[in-house]
Amino acid sequence: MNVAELSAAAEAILFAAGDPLPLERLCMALSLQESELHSVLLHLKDQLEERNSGLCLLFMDNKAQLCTRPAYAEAIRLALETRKPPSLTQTALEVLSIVAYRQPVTKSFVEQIRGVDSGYTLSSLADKGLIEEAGRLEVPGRPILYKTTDLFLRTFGISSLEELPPLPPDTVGQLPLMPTEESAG
Amino acid sequence: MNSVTFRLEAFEGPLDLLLHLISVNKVQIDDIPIADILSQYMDYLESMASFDMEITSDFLVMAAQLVLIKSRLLLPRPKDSVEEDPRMSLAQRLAVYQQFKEAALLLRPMSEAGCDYISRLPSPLQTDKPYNGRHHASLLTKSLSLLLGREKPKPPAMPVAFSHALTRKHIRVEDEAKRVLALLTSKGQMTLSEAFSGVTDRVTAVATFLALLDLCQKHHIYLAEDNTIATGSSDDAPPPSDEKELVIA
Repeated sequence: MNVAELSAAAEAILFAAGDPLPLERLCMALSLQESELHSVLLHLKDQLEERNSGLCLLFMDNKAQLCTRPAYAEAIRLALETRKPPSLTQTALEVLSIVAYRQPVTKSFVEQIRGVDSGYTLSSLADKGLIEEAGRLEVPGRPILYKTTDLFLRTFGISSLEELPPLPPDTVGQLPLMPTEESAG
Repeated sequence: MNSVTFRLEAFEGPLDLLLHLISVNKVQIDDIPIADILSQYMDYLESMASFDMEITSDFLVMAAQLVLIKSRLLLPRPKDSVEEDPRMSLAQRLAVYQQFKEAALLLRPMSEAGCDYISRLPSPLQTDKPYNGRHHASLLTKSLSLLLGREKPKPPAMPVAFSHALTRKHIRVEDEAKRVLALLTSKGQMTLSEAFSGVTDRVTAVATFLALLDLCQKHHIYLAEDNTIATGSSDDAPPPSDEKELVIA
């Protein structure tokens, strides 16, 4: 298949997939090397722009996803009678930043930094699909570890965690890193 | 210092309140005037009480900590004392929290943008396919004979098997894991059923099974498709260390 056909195939696959699809699956399905897939996807991205498509191609981590262009979000919401999700509260953003910059983290670690219970906020963020469980910390109690999701990357308009803005400096002492053995409580 | 008037905002927690007081008083985190901050903090707690707001225990714990810090500062210290400034650990906590408060402010505008990307849910494609594998017919006869072979009449139960009928039998998953690992180390590789050889009662069988799952999860052993077990990638893996006591009533 030539590039045009390959990019059309990729478009079809990503449409059917819906969720972000790992690039290696695309490589496997289209029998391409990683670098070849890269050019095919760039071609697709350009094509979508050139023909003023309502869709655009997003890259997150090592995955790709076909999404609608933000410009048409309002029209979509009107047509489908859905509402814009409420913006995240300051609390949610604080908890989310701790997870984003220090992942994987436990609930206990988050609470230690904020000085308040954060269980509700964590489950609410998990419900929204912005964070997810990432195994457990191997200490007594085996608490759940949390990390950010692909949806988090998309929601904040970045394609990988490296693109997060740098953490503001700690004005006093050492930054506490996620301990390998947490003290109880 | 003048008394500070402020709106009765609902603060997230004691650290949030302290950061507010620090900024209102225009002082540095690493040089907090404890006496003033403490009295303003207590004023705030009183206002909360008078407005009938719930003072969570976090606020009270912090109040106690502030009092402790103040009292440490009041005690005379020897001239060449190398004791840490009693305010230091509080200052560090506040600094770290402030970092993430600021990070949250950085992330806010970013989140507004991203929610306008809308995607589809995956198409509900039929994933159940008719089975595609190919096997030799002898596999069927082999499994059948294995199955029938297990139907050998068991010898009548020994009295010792009944001694646990009224008491709980404690089998530690850890012990079974050690047993399996020892067996595996001596044999190099073995089948799943060999791991259960010599196991006569259900409790031990369950413990062995759990031990196998646990060892597999920790990558101490490797289960292959042909039902063989081999030691995992780390040959010098330490013996399992969690204490898991399996109790079956």
